[in-house]
Amino acid sequence: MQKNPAVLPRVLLAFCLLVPCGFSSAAKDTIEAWKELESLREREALAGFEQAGDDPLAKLGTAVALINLQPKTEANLDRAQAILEQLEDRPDLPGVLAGYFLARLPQVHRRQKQPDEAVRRYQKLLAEHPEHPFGQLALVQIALIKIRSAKEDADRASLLQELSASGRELTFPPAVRDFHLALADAYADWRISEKESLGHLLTAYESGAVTGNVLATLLVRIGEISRKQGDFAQARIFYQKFLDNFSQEIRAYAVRQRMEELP
Amino acid sequence: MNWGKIMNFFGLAMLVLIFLWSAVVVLSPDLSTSAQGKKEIRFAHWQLESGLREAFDRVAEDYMALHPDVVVKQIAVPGKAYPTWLTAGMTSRLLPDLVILGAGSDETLANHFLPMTEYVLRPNHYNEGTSLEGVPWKDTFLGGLSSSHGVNTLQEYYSIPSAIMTIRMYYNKTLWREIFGSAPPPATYGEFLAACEKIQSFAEQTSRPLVPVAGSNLNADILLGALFQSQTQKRAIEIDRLNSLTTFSGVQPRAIWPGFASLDDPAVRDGFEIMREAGNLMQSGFMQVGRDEAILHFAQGRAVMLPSGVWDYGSIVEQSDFEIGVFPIPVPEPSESGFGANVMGRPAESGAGNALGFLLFAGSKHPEIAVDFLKFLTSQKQNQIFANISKWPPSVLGVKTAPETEIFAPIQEGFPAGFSLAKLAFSSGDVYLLLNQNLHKLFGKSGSVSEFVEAIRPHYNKALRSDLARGASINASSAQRMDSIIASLAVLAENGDAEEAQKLSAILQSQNSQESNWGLIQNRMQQTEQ
Repeated sequence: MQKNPAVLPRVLLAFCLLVPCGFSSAAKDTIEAWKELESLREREALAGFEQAGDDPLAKLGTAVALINLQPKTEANLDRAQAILEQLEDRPDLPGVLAGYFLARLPQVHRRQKQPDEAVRRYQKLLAEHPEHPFGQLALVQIALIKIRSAKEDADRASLLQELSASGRELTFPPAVRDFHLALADAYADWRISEKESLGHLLTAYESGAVTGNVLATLLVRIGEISRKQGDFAQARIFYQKFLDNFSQEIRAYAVRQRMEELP
Repeated sequence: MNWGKIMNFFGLAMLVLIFLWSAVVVLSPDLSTSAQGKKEIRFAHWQLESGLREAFDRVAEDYMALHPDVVVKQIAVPGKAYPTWLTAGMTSRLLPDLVILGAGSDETLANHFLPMTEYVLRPNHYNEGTSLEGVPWKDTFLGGLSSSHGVNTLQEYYSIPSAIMTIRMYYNKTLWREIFGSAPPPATYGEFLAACEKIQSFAEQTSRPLVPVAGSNLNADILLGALFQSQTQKRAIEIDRLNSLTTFSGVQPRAIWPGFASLDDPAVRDGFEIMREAGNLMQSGFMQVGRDEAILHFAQGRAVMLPSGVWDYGSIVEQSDFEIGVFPIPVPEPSESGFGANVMGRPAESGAGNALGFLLFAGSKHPEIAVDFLKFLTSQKQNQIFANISKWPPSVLGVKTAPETEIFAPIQEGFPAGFSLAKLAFSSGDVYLLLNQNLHKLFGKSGSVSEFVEAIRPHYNKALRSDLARGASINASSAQRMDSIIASLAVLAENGDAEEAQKLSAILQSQNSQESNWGLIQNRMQQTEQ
């Protein structure tokens, strides 16, 4: 029988345990700029961060704003990288986030993608901050990169087994969720094992952090694979969870039909 | 410069001046309102069909009666001018308080509109005393707000729907009785075909210029699209390796691919076959005419049926001097021989087709009032009034569709539709272009499925790859921008802000699931590169 994990308490607890809470007074000066950045107003955010001076959070904000400043230029990305490299050895949040975005640069932001360089950066971050939320999110990115670049003739099953083993230490719920969802998708899409896919889906569900449309699809997928595997009791439980939470969804009638057809 | 060029330049300059003048007049607030000490909010949309403006006016009047210090104004902009008008308004920061938007990028949403998340999480106070009292506003809509702008990417609710959009088959009841007596309209695809055959015989015998179905690029897309998707319904579930019981988890862009479906797949061939069969029931050259001409064709009694959406109900009734009937699009039933073998059942419409969704302009002088008006419009009581006048199915739970248009109420008991290759009208992309350039090979006496498939086959893979590459690029761009939000939320959540922590978790989920989905598509593209 699966638990019905609550989302918010787990995510919050993880943040409060893993990250020292509270802003320094200097950092408080940057709050407005961070809010501008959250609203994708990079130009306004950049002005705010530059005014805040040498505070590490202001420097981090400057770098992230430069990464997405439109129009995107390699010169801005170079400048952002230089700032992030100054910050990455710090043990605090600006240092960890700097490490994370140093890896995002070659992974998604540079015109010429460099997946190997991104993996190297993520591995460094994970080794240095294995318990930090963004250290753990680095492992999610490593899995996504390796799955995306896996060769047709390579031993994909071994790759997924290797990745599965590396994820055992994950504790940050969003990282657990996204890591196992990525593996579940690869196991299913590459038609390696529906049973393995189901296992990862259940682990993602148990993270308690799956929400919205992703949760709706996750519940259906667990129900469907359980039915195919002959675990009708589990299929019934997850179909019902879907109907309890998404009774108006486009798949509701089909799921009800599936439930009625279960032995 | 010759005289002709001068006149052309003068004409163009006049056009620009007139557009600018009208844009300023329409976009600027009415100064007389503020002179009276009243607050004005304005809302804009492009739906000029009969009944809708009257419905909005009525709700606005009721709101003003309740709030005498507020003036609510409606601005209806013709659909063809709407995109330009909207862009001009965004650039000049002079948009009305509430507007309808087609597809909007995350950047457009974040830069020009305000999220309404904080409001939708709380109950709509206009629902007090109803079955929705105390229910969070977002949960008072049919199908929830899962298709609200921004909810799946920015994790914010940017639009509130005031109606539902569904499609049906209209028919000329007067003509129907003349041909069929008291027989009801067709309930199955087989009955539909039999009826069309009888209409063609009737036209021949009476020498009347009559076709079974009025078509245009848009109206054909409605009927032929639904029929094609009926044929891929079972196949979509079979090829969905993720076991998600639907097509929106990524099957659509991957459908025609080695190991999935192919152009020679029986279900796909049947899809083209049924399109050809139904397309040949429309007047010749239907793909070259627009929606207005199809309605005119029908209203003049030159066609017995017209596939269209609820949005045309008022206009069709107004233009036709005969009795109108409506029935569901006649897709094959699973029990029907032939095409029925590919079908699971009637497609579900629940949770789909949210329409008339208003967004809150970031430059609104009275955002609280604008949101309050939206709450009023989507309260059970007012949405009922709106549905009764507009005839559109309501978006709010517990509200009934107007009796005349009850047939448009969303079908809840149905299955997810199958995949389509592309729309037939008002779309973009290389597959769309390829299909459209060759559709004439599918229809008409000389057309055939084989000829059509052989015409598109040599180019299909390249077109699909091009569309997928474009899709991957759009996704990458969206994922890149999310990094700004992720960094911000990580820093703001450090302060112990519960809301920011939850939002960070949701946006990471959105970014990572998109990257996982597209990563697998790109992986397949690399492996099969020629």
